[in-house]
Amino acid sequence: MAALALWCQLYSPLTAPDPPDGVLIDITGCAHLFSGEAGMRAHMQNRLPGVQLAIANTALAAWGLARYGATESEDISPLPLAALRLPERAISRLRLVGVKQIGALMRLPRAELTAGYGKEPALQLDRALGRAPEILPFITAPPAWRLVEDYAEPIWAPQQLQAALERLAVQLCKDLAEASRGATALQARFYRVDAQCPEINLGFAEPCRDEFQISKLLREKLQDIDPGFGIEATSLQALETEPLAPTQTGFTPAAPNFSGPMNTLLNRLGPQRLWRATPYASFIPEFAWRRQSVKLPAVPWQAPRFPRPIKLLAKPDAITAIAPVPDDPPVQFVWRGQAHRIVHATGPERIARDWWCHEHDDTRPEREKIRDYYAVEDSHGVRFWLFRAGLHDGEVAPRWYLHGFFG
Amino acid sequence: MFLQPHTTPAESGWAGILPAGLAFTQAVHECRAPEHTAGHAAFAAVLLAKLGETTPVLWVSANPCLYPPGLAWLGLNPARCLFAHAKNDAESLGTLEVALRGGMAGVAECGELSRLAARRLALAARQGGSTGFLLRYAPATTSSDSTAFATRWMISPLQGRGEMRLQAELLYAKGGQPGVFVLDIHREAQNGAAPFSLTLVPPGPAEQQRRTG
Repeated sequence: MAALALWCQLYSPLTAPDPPDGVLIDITGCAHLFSGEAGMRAHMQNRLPGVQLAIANTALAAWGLARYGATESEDISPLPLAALRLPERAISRLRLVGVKQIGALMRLPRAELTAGYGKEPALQLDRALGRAPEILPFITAPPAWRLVEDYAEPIWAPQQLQAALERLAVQLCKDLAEASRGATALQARFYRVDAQCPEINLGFAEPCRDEFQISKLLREKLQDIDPGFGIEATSLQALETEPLAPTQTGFTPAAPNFSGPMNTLLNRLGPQRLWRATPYASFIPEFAWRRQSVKLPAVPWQAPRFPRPIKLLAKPDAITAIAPVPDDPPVQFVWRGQAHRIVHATGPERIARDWWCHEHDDTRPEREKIRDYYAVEDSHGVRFWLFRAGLHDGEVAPRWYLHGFFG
Repeated sequence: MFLQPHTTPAESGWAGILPAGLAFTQAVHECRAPEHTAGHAAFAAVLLAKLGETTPVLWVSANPCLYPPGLAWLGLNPARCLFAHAKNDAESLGTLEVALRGGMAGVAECGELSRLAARRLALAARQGGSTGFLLRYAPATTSSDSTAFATRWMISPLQGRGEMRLQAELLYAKGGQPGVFVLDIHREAQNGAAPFSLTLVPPGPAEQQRRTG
């Protein structure tokens, strides 16, 4: 139903799925685009064969008419009470006193209806007649920056779609420029003949209203769109906008601006696979940084006080090491079946587990809350970052791990 | 295209460090290292730290395990860096190309590399006026390699007795003489502008003899 409601945005931006079997469309001010309500009805009958349609002044009246009504009539008084979405109990109780149709319900005195049968029947009646408000769960609030292009004949050639997107992008950028705004999230939707609605989503690292860039990014993603039997309408909407002041060009040499490649990368890779690193206040090496969205500004870093490797294994790799007790670096270790004789070592750098912010976890290497890190150099000059978890006189025997590479 | 001389601009910060005549900016450089070492990444990091203070650097790999505090320790500000995770080698090369064309510096890791891809990267770097590094784990065979890149290095570990020392072997250089260099990365004690200095030292005759012999 949600997908169908999305597709029904072809008729109006305000559509709501109505489970289990309906879609509500607010066509206020939209019918003339299909040459009147009759034209819209015919269009819908054509696209969705077998659909039960009703147009009425209120959502509830339309709901009832579509299910219980005669065709082409907007009068709800001859409809059964079930058309008001009343609970079964209220309907059966009202039937006992001979009220079977909405018209009969309308004739009942208001005060007695409320006193005898609760608020529900009177409220639903008011909703159907437009006297009481009804809240409809429209799927999307209509974006302020939405442009739609309808076609007399369905189109499917990629060149046509590309040209349509370019036209929309130019117009949207013009509108945005007049309002001194730039888009940070864009969406293009393609309303297909067979009631499907594929879409393209673009995200921007910085607000953008450059029609060339937008068209280029849309063109890159257009190849994923399946036009099916044809596309009847295309919409381009800026879901999020931010203020973007107009820039003066040609007065001073332009500062280098990297928003172009950043936006391209962000849309190609997606926000999950492109990130900045921010420092995080933790002494545990693997927690000392966090991923951050590229949309946020970079956070300054301070140079670390102790050597840090350029590559860090995601999970420390267990090694077997030969080391003099209690605190010396290893003389030799075996990693992946290969022995490395150590000729130089720096350390130890003792790092305690931050017990106050991490739960005790037996699978983590430092069961005794201490790691002693050594930067070691083997006989070939390869530099590793090793650590010993635990102490020699601790609960369990110390274990050695390889954690990173310096070079 | 042959009329453009290969120059190393003085403002790049690399003048006096690198062998004269090497086209280092606006080009792509290939750095290789033996398996299970990270010398090539360290080499790219220290050179990019010298390149400029503001140009963003994109690090892209299909298997990202780069450690940002390690970059900071080598003098490259991680706030300048963007990190990307590519699905495969082809995507990481494409990502690097976008970055280079847009004027960002970029470092990509890849396994196989076609001549076409190398040529595209070199063109992108020249169009965008940016510097790129390609990191590979491969034996240093040069028979089937593209010459689109400005230089090709083999970065091997070298014993430094606690100092960060690498052997940088220049396998191929456009307009330059190949040779073997020793790269010392050491932290200066005084409060200098750059916490690291990079010196490329031609090896002594003994070492040269050992290599050839």
